[in-house]
Amino acid sequence: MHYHLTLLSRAFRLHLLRWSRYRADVAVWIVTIVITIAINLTFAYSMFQASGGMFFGYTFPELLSFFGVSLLATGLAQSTVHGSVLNLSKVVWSGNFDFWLLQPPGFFWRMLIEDMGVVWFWPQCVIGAILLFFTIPVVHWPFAFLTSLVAAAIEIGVMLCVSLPAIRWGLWSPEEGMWEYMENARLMPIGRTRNFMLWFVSFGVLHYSLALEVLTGRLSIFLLILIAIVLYLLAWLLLKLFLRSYSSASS
Amino acid sequence: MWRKWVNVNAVDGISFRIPEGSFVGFLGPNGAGKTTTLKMLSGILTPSGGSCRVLGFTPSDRKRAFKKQIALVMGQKSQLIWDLPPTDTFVLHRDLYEIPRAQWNETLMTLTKLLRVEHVLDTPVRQLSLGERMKCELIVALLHRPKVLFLDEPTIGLDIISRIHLWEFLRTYQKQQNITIILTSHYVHDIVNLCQKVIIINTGKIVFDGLFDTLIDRLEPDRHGIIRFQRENLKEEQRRQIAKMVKDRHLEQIDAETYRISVPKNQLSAATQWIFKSFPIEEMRMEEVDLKTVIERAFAMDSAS
Repeated sequence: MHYHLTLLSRAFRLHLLRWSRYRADVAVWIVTIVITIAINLTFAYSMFQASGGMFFGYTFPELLSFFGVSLLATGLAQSTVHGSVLNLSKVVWSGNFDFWLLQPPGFFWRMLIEDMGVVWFWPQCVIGAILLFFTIPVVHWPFAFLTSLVAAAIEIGVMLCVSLPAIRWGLWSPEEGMWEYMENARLMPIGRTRNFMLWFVSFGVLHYSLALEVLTGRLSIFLLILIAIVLYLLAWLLLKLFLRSYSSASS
Repeated sequence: MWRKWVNVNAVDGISFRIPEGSFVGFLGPNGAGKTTTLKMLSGILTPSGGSCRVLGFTPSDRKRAFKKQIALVMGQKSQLIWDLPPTDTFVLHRDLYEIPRAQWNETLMTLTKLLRVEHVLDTPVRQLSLGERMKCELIVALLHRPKVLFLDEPTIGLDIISRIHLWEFLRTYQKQQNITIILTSHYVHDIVNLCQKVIIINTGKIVFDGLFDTLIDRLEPDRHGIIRFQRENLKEEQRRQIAKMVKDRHLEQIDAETYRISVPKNQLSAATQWIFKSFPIEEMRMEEVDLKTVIERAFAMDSAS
């Protein structure tokens, strides 16, 4: 326990060190996010006005809470995806994965120490949480955060399932793979402008819509949890296959 | 159109023992199976057949107790955090390997002094020279005081001065700590300068396992030297003797006064004494054994020879 806490604190400090090295980029990133949120809110407000106060059956606060959930969950998910998938891909293809295998901590703990992407995605976690605080009654806050967490878990699960085979066998770029997934899942005609769009296109994706259904009391959270469990089980199996085939074939 | 898959046995039925505290070199051409062997010994790869034991562990089990007693340095890969100074990686390794702070401080101080890298500890890794980076890689690997150190081409791309520094350090450290070091290299001079024992691998098979001197004696039994006679002091009888030696191919004439002598190693002492006694000599010097030729011959050997 003490060992893992030490590792976590080290990971946190390394995050801060990296953050301080890339602070100019982080500042630009924050401005970008704020502008994009403004664009989305304007879009939502126009749609809300045009639909006469109803937006696909949701009220305006519900719609805002949807944005809150989406932002918070995608912030969490993209941090993990950025950290795990992209770093794992980098470390495997550069051959440095060999060092990971020889270091004492288990695979997940070693991965956690890497740049988890919180450096880049914390603003949307913060803004998403603020939106939830504004739009959801106080008594529902824990439930709203739990829903966001499960929605993020689903996103991560999907990403891992899509990306692990790509990382191991190099059938496609995991970043590109995520893009395909994002584009197809959201059916939005967007250009390939790389990571900036990753969270932007998250609006409207199925599991966030499901999260909103849970928030508005139309769906059980257990269904969402079940989806997350199935996806994680699949990702775990893929990871097992990945580690097994890596240590028996790669040189 | 279908992709055709071909199975290649990177390492094929090799068997060897390495005593504790020894410095062993793996030599072999590209694709011989050196790195694959090293990866199996360190636990990165699982052998498809047979078994290997290191420090009483099966490496591919990757037990934490085993991982804490070994270290791997690869010349072409880095475990330093690229955009941060090496100190941050050293601190990370202190946590990863649960090294007591006092021990970590002491080891780090000793290693940085021995490797002469005190001045680069706060420079981001990406700004270090290749030599400095490799020294820091060694520090990271040795911070937890491993009992077995695997070195995979650690001198690749280094200039001769950096290589000499690395040799000096490895020799000193290995003697001080009595650790087992297993080194792979393309450079025969790395092996000659560092290793007591050499294992030569070719196409996945061991073709030689023993002392380097034994290999030299086996593949290059003759020693060569250059002799310059005092031509004006040579008597007729001596000239005839020289001509006979040339005819019998004990001597090879290079120019009017200079000859190249080749004698078996075990007759070298007697032969030189006889030459000095029998002829007026202006100069005589022995040539170094041509390691390149020895290694070329060694690589051409098969496991049966």
